[in-house]
Amino acid sequence: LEYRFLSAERIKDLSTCARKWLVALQKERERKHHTALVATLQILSGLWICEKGLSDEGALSAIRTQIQIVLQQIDTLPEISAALLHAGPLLVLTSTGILHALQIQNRHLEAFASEIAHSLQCHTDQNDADANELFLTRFLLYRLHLHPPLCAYGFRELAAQELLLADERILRSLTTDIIAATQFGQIKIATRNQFFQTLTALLPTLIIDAFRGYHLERGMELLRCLRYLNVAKMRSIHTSVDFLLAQQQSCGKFGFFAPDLALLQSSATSFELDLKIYLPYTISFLWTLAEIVQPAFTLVTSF
Amino acid sequence: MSIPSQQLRVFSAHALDWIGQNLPLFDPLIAKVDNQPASIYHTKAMGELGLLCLLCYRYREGASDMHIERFLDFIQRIWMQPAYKERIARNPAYFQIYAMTYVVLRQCRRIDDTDQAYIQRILEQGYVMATETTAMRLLDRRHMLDAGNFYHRLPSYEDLYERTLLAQTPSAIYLTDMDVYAITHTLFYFTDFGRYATDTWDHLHLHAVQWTIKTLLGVYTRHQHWDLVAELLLCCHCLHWQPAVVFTLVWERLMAAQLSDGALPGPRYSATCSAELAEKEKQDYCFEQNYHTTIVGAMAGFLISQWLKHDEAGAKER
Repeated sequence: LEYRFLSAERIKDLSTCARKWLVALQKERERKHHTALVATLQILSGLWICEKGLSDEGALSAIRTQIQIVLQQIDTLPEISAALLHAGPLLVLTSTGILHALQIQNRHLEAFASEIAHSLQCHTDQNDADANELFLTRFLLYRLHLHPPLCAYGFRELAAQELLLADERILRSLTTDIIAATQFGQIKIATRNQFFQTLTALLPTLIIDAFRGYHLERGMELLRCLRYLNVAKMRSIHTSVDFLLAQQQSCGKFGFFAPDLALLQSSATSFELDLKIYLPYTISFLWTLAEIVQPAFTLVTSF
Repeated sequence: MSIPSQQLRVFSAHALDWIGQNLPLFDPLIAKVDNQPASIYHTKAMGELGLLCLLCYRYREGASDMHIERFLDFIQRIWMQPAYKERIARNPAYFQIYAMTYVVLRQCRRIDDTDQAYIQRILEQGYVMATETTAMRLLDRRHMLDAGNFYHRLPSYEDLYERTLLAQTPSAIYLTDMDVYAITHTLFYFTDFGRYATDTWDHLHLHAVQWTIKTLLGVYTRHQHWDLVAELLLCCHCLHWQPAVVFTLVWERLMAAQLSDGALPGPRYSATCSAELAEKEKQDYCFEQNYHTTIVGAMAGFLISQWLKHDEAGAKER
């Protein structure tokens, strides 16, 4: 499939802009002595996507600087286990993979990954849904050589009506299933399957509906699923990417959430909002964009 | 797999039943002359009923539908009253909705052209054509004037189309309900409800329009906005095209949404509100909320059933 419809210059501009914002946010954190590991690792992932997924310069300069910050922070944090748990297995395993790609290992990260691998070995999946929920963790462990090759995953075939009217819960389970069944686009689904045809006919509607309601995260998850299913819905992709590009602020961060935040009457500072709201959305935006416009890039197999 | 035409005919007939039961409420003369908004609202409702009759009349096979004949009798009776007919001259700001009654009755061969000169004269005073409106409304104006054989100097359909929202195929993500109405009506008038093909469009534009219609069909079905769902289905008829999976699925949802009395719930209809009202208020409320959706649903059901029936007959022959 040919997804490359944005000019290389446009991709470079948006990536440079996002990278500058991530670097500036990290500097601001240092100035304010903000040491939450989760944000450090999120910035690492964002920079990885910018420099590895969206740029072909290969310099990885911002990544290398951020890795030094990660390593320094891990060595100085008093409660490292608690901080890793708080960051969550997916972010920690992704960060560990990024470090591995640059031939760097950290004993705390390695120990944490091994511990997760061990607990999963002792875990028996109750059903397919349970197995699919744990797929991403297993997949990342496999990439880190801490899990045997993964079996084939199936997905629950929804009735067409159920799919069209899917609520938040069903959509979440659907995206989990698609990711597991396709293993991030590595496994092709039989296109003659009736559910596959229904799914590919209705996914564009679900994506556009999510964006119309400014449910950006849901829309981006579904959009990535379209790529994993290897479906050439070019107009849906163009429309969605055009919309997503319009959500990048001139400073580089992603999303226009001020109207929602005003309704919440939050007393959070702009720095706090950048960390809690804009940073995760910016990572998700970069992830989605990189996987859509750069066909060779898949985040979880990029390290 | 497409939906059987018979199911759509039953759906449409049920909607016509509801219209028949509420026919007196379409009468624009029930509103007192000093209550202009109410009068315009009923005139608009009757104009839409007339359009339904016109479309059904075009496709009639043998004897006309009993409902349609009764509706045309009703519209004709109103037209024959000077208190109604003279409103065109008295209130040319609403020329189009009044003149529509004449156009419908002429097209359905209910009246002769005695009033043609009277209406043309009002048109030639210049006010009607000078009023400002959107590109889609200009298409609407041209469609009505052409159907009534009136002389005018409006640009061609193609030129008018180029100025519409649909011609620009803007992002479906930003379209408001009003934008979607502008899109559906553009297709209705540009194709004369499916009579004329869109063969002046290039393949890319046709594909873009089809994508927009298909996506919006799914979106508005998710939100149970049956008014726009019915209009978008009618657009499929205008384009002589059935979007895979979505077409059948959306029809099933629309048929399931039909109320037991045959009405289709409009976007602001609430069964709870309706249940709390006394009988007369309830009837007025249901009419006001549901008449447009029910008419469009009946149009879509009727026209698409005719089209599917034709396809089914072709398939049998093969």
